[in-house]
Amino acid sequence: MIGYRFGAWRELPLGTDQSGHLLPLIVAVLVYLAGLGAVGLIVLDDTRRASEHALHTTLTVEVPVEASNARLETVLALLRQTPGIVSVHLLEPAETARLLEPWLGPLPLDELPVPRLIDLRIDPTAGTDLAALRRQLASVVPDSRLDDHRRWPEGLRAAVRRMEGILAVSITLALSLIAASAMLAVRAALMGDRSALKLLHVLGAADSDITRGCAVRSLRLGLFGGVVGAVAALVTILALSGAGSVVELPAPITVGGAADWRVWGVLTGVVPVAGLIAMASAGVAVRRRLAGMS
Amino acid sequence: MAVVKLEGVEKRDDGGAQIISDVSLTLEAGGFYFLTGISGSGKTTLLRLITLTERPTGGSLTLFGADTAALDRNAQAALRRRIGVVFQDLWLIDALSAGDNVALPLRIAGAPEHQVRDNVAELLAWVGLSGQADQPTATLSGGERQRVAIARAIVHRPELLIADEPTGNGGDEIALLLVRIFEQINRLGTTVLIATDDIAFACQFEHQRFHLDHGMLIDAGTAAAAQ
Repeated sequence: MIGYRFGAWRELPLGTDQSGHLLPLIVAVLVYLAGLGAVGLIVLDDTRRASEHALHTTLTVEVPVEASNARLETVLALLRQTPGIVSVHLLEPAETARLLEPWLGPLPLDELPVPRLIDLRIDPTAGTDLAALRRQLASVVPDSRLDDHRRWPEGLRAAVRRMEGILAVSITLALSLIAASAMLAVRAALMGDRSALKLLHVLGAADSDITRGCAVRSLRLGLFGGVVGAVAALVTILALSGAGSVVELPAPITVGGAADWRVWGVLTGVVPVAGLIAMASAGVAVRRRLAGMS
Repeated sequence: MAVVKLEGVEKRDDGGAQIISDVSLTLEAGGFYFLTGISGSGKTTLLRLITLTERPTGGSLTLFGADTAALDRNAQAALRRRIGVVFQDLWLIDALSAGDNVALPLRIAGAPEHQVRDNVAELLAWVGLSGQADQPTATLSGGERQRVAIARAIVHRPELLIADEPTGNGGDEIALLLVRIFEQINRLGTTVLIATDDIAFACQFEHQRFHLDHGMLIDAGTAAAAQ
């Protein structure tokens, strides 16, 4: 009789059935979706932060058109003296017309009561007292209005949070499906009274060897599928990004492009995660099935 | 020394039907035995109990001196590796070559690859298939597949060789040839147990016979007389 040697699992002919052949394809598709989803999370988060940054550093003062030039100058002087306001720019009527043109078309501003707009850049860390500023502006021009855009970031934040939740659920589902696929592949391999794995069991292969062999095979298939899926996701991102980023923001932040190290981190990280999920799931499935055999 | 010892062994199926009833038998080391009985008499189930692929629902089964009821799964697997089996349907892996099928027990045991190569080549030559080691078993004839199954059953020098209906796949000449092959293996010290439903065929030989009838062991002489 031949003595048993530890490490026999390396020599077991696992993978002689057809059951695992679809696993790399399934893993590739799911890694592709999970990878794009994770990159999408990054893009969304960056978009939200960039938008909030832009909105938190921008204020607009609306001065009714009937206000006199003297009062307008007083307002401008007040703004320039206010701590935390970095720049004050009074929009010329032509600039205002350009801003409104996308919504209202070419405007005869002379005939319409369009307020004068003052664009402010503020230092968000300076803690400018906006309530006090509103009171001061009202004392100079009673119907003037200070728009701090706060309702926009709140709406944006809620929408982004919902989208992030949807993406997180999608990623979790994709990774769960990798586990389910690996388990199904193993169960298919063990199905039937004359499966190769059952033969190995009957001929005396140790449970640990069969389990390890199946798990390592699933790891290899999962890694292979994962690499294919990650490469496909990267190609998609490159195609989408074109000039170098998936999303071009008005803020000095561009996100999601091939130059973004986080994209590489996500796409290289999702491959071993997929492989390990496939390996662990196959191991669980094999152990369960072997436990049912004498 | 007893290689196999069954005492009052019983086996019921999942529905509770009795398949094996109160079977007691002993296979001594180096012995050659026939297990006879018509189809459905419980021969295959009894062989599955001996090869530890099924567990008895009653009685005790001792293999190589070890009470199998007290063994953990690793110890059971270790005992299975001391047994060679020629299955009734041969149970070859068609995706593998003849050589790789024969090599299975050695690879399960983790034998070094040079030893696998040497033993497989030796066994395939012994069964007359030395030129077909790389042939997929799916392309082999019925007789050649049977020889691959026999080579696989003995390649790891088992202490107990079990063959389930090995004589059923060919004519009388092939059956006789197979028994001669098993006798050669037996002369090397391997205990041999052959299950067959051809009682008259088994009676041609001087080897001890056990006869199963409806799951119960009856006197082999009575069975032969009834033939």
